[in-house]
Amino acid sequence: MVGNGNHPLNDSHYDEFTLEEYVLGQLLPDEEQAIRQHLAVCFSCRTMAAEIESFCRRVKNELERELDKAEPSPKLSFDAISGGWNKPPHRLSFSFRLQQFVPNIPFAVMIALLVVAFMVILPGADATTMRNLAVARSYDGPPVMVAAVSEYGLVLLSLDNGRSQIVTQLDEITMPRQLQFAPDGKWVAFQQGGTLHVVEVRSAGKHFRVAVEEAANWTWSPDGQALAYTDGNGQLVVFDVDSQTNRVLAPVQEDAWGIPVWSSDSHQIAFAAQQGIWRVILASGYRVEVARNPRPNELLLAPAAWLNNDSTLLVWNVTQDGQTSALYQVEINSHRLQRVEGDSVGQGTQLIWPINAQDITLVVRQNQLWTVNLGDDEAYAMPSEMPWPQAVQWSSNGAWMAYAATGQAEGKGLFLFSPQEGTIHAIELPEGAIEKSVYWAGVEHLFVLRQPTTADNDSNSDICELWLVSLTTGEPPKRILTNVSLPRPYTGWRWTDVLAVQYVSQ
Amino acid sequence: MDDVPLIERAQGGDERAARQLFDAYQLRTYRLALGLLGDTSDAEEVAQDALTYALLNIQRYKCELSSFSTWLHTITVSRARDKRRRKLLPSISLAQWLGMGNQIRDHQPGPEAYTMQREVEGGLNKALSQLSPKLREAIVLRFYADCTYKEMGEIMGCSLNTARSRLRLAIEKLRAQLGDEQVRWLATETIR
Repeated sequence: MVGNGNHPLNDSHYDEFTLEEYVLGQLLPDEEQAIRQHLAVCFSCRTMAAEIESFCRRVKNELERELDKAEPSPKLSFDAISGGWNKPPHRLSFSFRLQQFVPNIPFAVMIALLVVAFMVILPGADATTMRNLAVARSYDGPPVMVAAVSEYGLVLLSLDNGRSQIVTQLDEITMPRQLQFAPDGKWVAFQQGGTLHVVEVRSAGKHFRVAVEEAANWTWSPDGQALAYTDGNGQLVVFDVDSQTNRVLAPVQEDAWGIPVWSSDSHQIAFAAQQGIWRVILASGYRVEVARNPRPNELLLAPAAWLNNDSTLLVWNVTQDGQTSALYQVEINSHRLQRVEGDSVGQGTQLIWPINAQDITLVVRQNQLWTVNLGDDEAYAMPSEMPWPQAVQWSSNGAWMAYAATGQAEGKGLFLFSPQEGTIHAIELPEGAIEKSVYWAGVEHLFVLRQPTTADNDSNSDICELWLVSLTTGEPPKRILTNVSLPRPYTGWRWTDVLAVQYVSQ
Repeated sequence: MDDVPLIERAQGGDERAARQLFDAYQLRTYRLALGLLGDTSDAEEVAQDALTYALLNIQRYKCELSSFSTWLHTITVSRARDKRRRKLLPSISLAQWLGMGNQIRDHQPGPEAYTMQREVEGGLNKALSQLSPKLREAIVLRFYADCTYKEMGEIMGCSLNTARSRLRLAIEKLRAQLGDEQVRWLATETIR
């Protein structure tokens, strides 16, 4: 078949795409008329059109036959909607709600009555003080910002200069996800439901709300000036905190997803798309494909980190069977995808064993832990007695890895590992709680998130605590914060949904 | 059916109107999700999710921009994409993973197993399951939901021309996959 769409080439035949459009009724009336006239005299095109038409009819018939007989089970119900109908965010207009209660009183009168009622009923200003989150009165650690979930919402704290201070409290935030401070501690981002919140960390600071889908992911630029996020709908967007504007870097069609990864100079962002990995250059907005997924039906590739002065990208396979994940390195210029020996561990869209400042990370090889330098491929087996890490954080200079280990007794789950020396140090904390997560504050202090055990010593409680550990002064660990609320369990929840700590270098 | 009065009542907070909308749209939303995903339990989850989101956020719907069904289809397609993606992501919690000594197996079938599991007897179903998700969306929206190219573009988040290209490519792939079987189907259709 030949032709270019509107008219048959050399007055012979229409191409099958044009005939498809004709069959699907997508042509303009005069084009349709021309084809109809041609079909009347051309057996070949008529045969082709009939074949396409019967094929389309078959697709339509079979789809309808298959789907129209399908009935959902009673599980599909209005109950979930009914349950949420009267809860915030308020879908009912205020006047509508009032009219439900007292339909015969004019709206203005009701407002006046309500104002009087509030003035009488409302208690003093101290009624909003936190009744459950307990903060240590004195604090002699490094300057940090803390975001913690309390029974009365999200609390932002500043710990500095020998004192702890509540910066602000966000009552409406009771189930945040992915609490993440900007590197300078001036902003914090988190998600609750279908909203991404970006909050300035100071009293009465700015608070921006961006509508996203639940699958949204984000990360702050290394310079703390911008937040890059995939909105769960396929867009990659950058929110600039100075200008407070959103800039779309990849439209919905790109199907960007997962956590965007900033280059160290904040000039580029790597992101996952439907077919592979891309990078976008912020200055120009140009998008460049870094690597095409070689086996799209088997691998789900996502970027993890920039390496070698941003000349290489570490990529991991998110899909692998719920277990360890394969790692790959991609050279930015040659687009060569090369497998790294050993596997890492991911949860959801996040690789949970991070890469340190010297491009070193943990991998598993034949059930043994190794450290591997991704820059020169040098790898060392970890001490066999090393407990399996649950939460890992590298010190800013990459010299030490602090981690909370799984399956340890109370107070015995915190470890320090030095890859250069190949040594491992256990740090003991008081009994009564299990170590769950760890955060560096400078190179001399650690914060440890601990979950107290309950009185029956069997199950963990629904709160957790933050402890400060000094690595150089020899002072005993000190409890800084307690009664941090744990969420009701849901699939895929992380400790970053409960608490975040950001060291504020001076 | 003119849904505008019902939608306006629901936007004003009338729960009964929302329930009527649910009743009116639940079947077609479920069936669209089933067409997109090919799995009844996934389709139910997506349909419930899409209807819940749409009705609890009905204030966001602007009738001057699109029809309610187009808006609901857009949400359904988006939720179906999320569902597909989540199935590819490991969903087991870290604590569970570590607690089981790194010996755990994912209980969800892997992509290959999933594809095999979805290989149903019907030739068209089998061919549909081998299409990429976006091409499948194009087929289902066009041939089941009877969407125009413009509506397909709105729902799939792409231009009209991209929607057209996807449908063309999808038809081409289906025809190539079905091949001889189409001839047999034509024969049976002729006999009928």
